[in-house]
Amino acid sequence: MSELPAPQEETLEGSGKSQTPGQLAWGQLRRNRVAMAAGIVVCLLYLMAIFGEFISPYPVADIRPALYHHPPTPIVWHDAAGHFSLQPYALGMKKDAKDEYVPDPTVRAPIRLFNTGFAYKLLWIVPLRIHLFGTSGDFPFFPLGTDHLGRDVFSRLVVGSQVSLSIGLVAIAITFSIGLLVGGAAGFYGGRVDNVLMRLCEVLQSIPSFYLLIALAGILPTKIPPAVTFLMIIGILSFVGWAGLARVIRGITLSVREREYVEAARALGVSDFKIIVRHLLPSTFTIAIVNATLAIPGFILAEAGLSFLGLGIRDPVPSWGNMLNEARDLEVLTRATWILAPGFLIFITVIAFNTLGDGLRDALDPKLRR
Amino acid sequence: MIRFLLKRLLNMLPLVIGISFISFAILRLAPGDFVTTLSQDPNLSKEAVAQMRAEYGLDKPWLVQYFLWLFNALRLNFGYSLAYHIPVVTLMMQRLGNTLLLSICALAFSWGVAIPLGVCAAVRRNTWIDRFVSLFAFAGISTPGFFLALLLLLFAQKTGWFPIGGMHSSDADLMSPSERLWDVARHLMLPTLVLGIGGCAGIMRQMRGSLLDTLRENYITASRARGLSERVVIWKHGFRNAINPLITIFGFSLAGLLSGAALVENVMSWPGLGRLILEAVQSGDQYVVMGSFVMSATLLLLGNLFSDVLLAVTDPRIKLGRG
Amino acid sequence: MESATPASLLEVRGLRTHFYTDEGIAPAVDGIDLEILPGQTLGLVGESGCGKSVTGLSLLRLVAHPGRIVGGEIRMRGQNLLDLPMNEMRKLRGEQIAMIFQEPMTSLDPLYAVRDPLLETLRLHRKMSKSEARAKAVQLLTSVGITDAERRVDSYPHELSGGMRQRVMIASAIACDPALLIADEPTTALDVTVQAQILALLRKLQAENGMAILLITHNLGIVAENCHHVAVMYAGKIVEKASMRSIFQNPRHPYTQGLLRAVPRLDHPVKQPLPTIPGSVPNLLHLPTGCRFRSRCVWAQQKCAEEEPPLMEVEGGHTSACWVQPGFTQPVPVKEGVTA
Repeated sequence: MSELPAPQEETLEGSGKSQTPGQLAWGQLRRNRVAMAAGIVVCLLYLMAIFGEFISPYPVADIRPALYHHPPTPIVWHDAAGHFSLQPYALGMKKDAKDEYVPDPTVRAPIRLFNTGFAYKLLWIVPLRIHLFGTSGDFPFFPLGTDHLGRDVFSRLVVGSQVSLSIGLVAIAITFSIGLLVGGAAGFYGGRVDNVLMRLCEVLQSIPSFYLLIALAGILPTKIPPAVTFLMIIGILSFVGWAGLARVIRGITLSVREREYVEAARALGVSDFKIIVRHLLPSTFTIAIVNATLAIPGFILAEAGLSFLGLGIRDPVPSWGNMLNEARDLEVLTRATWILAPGFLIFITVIAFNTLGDGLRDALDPKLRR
Repeated sequence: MIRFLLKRLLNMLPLVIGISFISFAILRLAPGDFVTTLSQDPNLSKEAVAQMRAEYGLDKPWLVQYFLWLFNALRLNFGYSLAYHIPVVTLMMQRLGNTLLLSICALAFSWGVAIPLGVCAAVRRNTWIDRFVSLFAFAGISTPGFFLALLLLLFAQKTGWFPIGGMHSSDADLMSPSERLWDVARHLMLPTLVLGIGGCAGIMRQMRGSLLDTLRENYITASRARGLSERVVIWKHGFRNAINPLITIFGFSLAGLLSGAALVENVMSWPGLGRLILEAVQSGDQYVVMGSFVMSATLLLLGNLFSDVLLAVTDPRIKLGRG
Repeated sequence: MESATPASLLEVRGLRTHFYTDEGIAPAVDGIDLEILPGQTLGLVGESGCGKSVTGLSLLRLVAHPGRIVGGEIRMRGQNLLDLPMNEMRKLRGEQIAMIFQEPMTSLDPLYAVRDPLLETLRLHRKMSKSEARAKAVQLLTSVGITDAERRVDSYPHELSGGMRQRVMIASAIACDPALLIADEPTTALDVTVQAQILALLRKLQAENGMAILLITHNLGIVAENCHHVAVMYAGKIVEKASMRSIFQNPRHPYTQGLLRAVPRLDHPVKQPLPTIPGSVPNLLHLPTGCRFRSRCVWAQQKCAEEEPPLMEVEGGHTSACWVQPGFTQPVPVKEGVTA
């Protein structure tokens, strides 16, 4: 044949429009339902912290010595006559012959949504008196019982999340910044700077971390205001934690520094600063995000551990760790097992963060991309 | 190899000295010293307090105090405990021994359980074993150690199967040596479980992940192509390669164990180094703190050295003496 | 032409290997037929992603999750390999059929010395003792062109270059004198000069041992020099099969023609752009109806969109899967938008 028919239009049969790495990662993460669920749990936990006083029926400092170790108030869904009602009721409790609490069906109070309770400031600005739920007047309604001073465990749990959850975030932000600075400098400049900085990291990492935490927290004076303690604990956590992250960042910086696109940028005369900001930092970004998400549970556990031992956030400011302190007494533990509630919450928080971190890591790791 | 070891050991010295300095500095940050708490006693006159200070050598400028300590430490004299009035070394040996006992048992437990389970999970990927193992691992690393300790103590209390904390029963003196051994073993069980579970979970995940990655390698397909049985492929080629990154972790796990032990000891009343450090820091017993830091750091560094050596021995690609 | 085709060593009929991914089922190998003759080399040619590597792995049933062989037959000496229990299949692997892979750098276990894969094969299939196997290993290494084999046999993979590692792989593959060697892009990862050496080695071994070779490659130059027969693969299907001569002199499938046209020639006019095949390989998850190549085909007709063409006989032994079967006598320099 000498004649060939006219050529056809070039058709590009690709697999769809191109996406940025960020979009690809987000898509991958969205498909991971477990990680998304974990992400929702984390958001809910932080919402709980932000709206702490709104959700809790009692102020955290409210002491009722007569009602110490009161069990969780029974909630029933029928009225006095025994008919089912949509309005839940809280039952009163009285002490029986063995000096233990038992439900008293004759005493009851309705649990109302958007109840009027104690005064507080939402987000530290808006003065309000409205709470998510509660009973009117002085009826003792303790969803999770009370502690040894008669304080409502549920309220302290909810407000305690403010401390426990925020410490993780703030500490990671600081640790991150220090780690980025130190690790980036060490990796980028190399030579003596690198040597000195890495030696410093080595020294810090050679002390078992909890010993260092105990030592630092142990020297904190006891009479300082809680806000200062809060900041000091964050400082201590960051001090113990930055070395690890700095090393990771240094590793990435070192490898990225040798990549061709950095060489090319240098050859084009781009300034050091621009190279760091435009090329090196973005590469550290993905690993840093994953490390950070997985480090937050570490900080939360560390703060909880310190507070549990009495070294971190101290009474009366509630933190999940120090709320568990009274469980050290086995007698108390067996009698008032609800004291363990904060422990479960720590567990849930850590699992949620770990799951999320894992999911993020899978989504951002190009090798695992389908 | 010998040269490498010597070089590393020599390198450790400045590190440990740096650590001792840091621990000293931390203590100096605290207002007052050991005598300060004692001086609250109104019965003590100012002169008596000053005399005590001089006795303990606490009246000298702190740099001098440090170098005096360093000088002695290099001759392996770590000073005296201001609270217990016995040499630091003696005090620490006891406590360190107990912590080590706990740590080693936890190490054996976690690795002994984690490795087989991790291999199993990787080989039977996505079956119920795998899912169960992954779930367990996840829960394990997420559980706060002290919380688990509390739960287990509650369990021990309710069932009476295990002693509740401590290292010896109250009538330990009346026991025969073998009975005493068994007594300690019983006391060891729950703390080991608490300390070991966290590590177990982490290692299991690592083993599984590492083996899964290794089984994707080309040499695995190549060995199957030679007709080797699946068992040989997985153990001889898969496992041996997969265990590599874990050997590095093995050395570092001592650090985590010492750290974790501190918390467990405090909750379950195990008389180890962790409890000692807490007391010493709070009372200003500085030589105990410094001695403990130096000891534990040395152990940690030795652990790292051990894993580096182990890695070099098992992996032909690694030649010692480089960097 | 002989009236009766010589008995095949290996016959593949309707082989289908599918991959069950999260996004859907990808039919990597979708019904192919192949014949490998004893002592001869069949070249399996195609672009990356066309399914040729998967074909090689399927012959040894080495396809890994999420892939699975879902249909067809692989007959060797009358027996369907897909019916064999795994322990029987393992006896075949390395002994009757051996395989070498594309990446010599990662195909050897880095923790074991180079003698190990050889010893493994020999002790497993030939039941040799350690010393016997070691002696034979040295012999094998020498026969694949490794000098100083007595010493080299104890080296570790990281001490050897890519070319030498590939030789070691070849040695372990031929250790038990297999009837068929599957070579999956054996030279793609190697330097050009080493490539030539390795291919020469394979030709020599074939001449000495009468071994058949399935040579999987994307490089037509390699095919021309080393293969007796050629099968061209595209998007999971074989689109043309012929003797090597026939394929190069009279390619009938537009894809094969495109491949040949795309090979740069020294006498190609300097000012003209190099010819390419427009478009790209279709996504296996979204295959077009009818002929899989039609979206890139200059000659596509209505029928091509409706019905998928089967392999049709062009001449004795030469088959092509195309409704149009355009002729093609010499490479045609293609100017933008113009055909001549």
